[in-house]
Amino acid sequence: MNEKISALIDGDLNTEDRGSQLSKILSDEQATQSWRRYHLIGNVIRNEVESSGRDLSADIWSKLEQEPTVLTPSPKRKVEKGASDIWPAAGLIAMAASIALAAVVALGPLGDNDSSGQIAFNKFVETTVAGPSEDQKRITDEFGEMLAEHGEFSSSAGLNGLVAYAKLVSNQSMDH
Amino acid sequence: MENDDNDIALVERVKNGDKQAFNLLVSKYQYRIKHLVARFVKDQVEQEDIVQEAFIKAYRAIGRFRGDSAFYTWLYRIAVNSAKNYLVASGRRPPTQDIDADEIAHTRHASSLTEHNSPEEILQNDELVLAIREAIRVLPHELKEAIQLREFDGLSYEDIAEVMDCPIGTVRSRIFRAREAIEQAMAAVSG
Repeated sequence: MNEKISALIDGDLNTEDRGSQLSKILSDEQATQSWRRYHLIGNVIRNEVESSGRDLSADIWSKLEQEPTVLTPSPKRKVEKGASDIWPAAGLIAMAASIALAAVVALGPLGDNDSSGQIAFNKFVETTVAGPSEDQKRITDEFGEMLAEHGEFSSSAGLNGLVAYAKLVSNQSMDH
Repeated sequence: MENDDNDIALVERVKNGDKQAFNLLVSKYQYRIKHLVARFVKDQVEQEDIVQEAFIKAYRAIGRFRGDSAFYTWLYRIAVNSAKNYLVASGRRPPTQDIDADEIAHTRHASSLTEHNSPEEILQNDELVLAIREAIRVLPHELKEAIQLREFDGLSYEDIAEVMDCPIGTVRSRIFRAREAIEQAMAAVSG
């Protein structure tokens, strides 16, 4: 068997024999030892080794196992419709919370005793935790629709306004 | 003759999760890589750290090795970069010369052509290396010549057969007998 290992190391085996011989070396400790020794002989003949030292495989695996797994971020996914729906909902909740907080601040001094503050606070907790009421939802929905319809006129719309205008001009010139 | 086919076969096995296949690549190249690293760092312990680091990086990146270059060339570059990074991290200056292809091609013979071990260095060699050298020294001439033509000069069996004026089968047998004799001397030392 070692004669085949010797021939394998020198590239003297065909593809099929190489595969089966490598499998034998990988499964047989004595064959693995011969592989190591034959290569070390070559290293010594080429003066590549001053001290034989030890096989570093065990140290390498030990270090690989000790090191923590680094979780790399997955590639940026295309934003799906469902995911984007989260943000308007969060925005509505934040808006409702702001309105409730403003109410607490504004109504606080008008109240004649602690109970009005407590009611406002309860309302604030209610709207923040439980979400906006139906009326608030309706108002914010209408407000959102209005913003969407007139977005191109917004000063913060940036290029959107220009693009919408360009589309209009483009359509007009096509008509000519 | 570099034997890339074995490397490619082993790399494929590593990619399929065979860790033992990576161990064969480590045992094949660890001394050559250490010898390379010794050109950057003199301390033996630091050399081993860098060699280990280079193999760890190679293992992690092996999925991206496509075989465009020889495995050793790829590993060589990783080791050189590891050595340079180590020097920078420890506040030392890495050599200014860049890696060039000729350097890679001639690395295997660099020491034998440019360096001779001082008596002090020879004393550092451990018993196993001394046993290998002694076993080579006492080999019958035709075995010694065959294995040196193969390992030192890198000739193929066909070329050795031409140089030694004998059949390829004889070359194969002589090289194996040389290795077997040296391995016996190694076993006597290391058990």
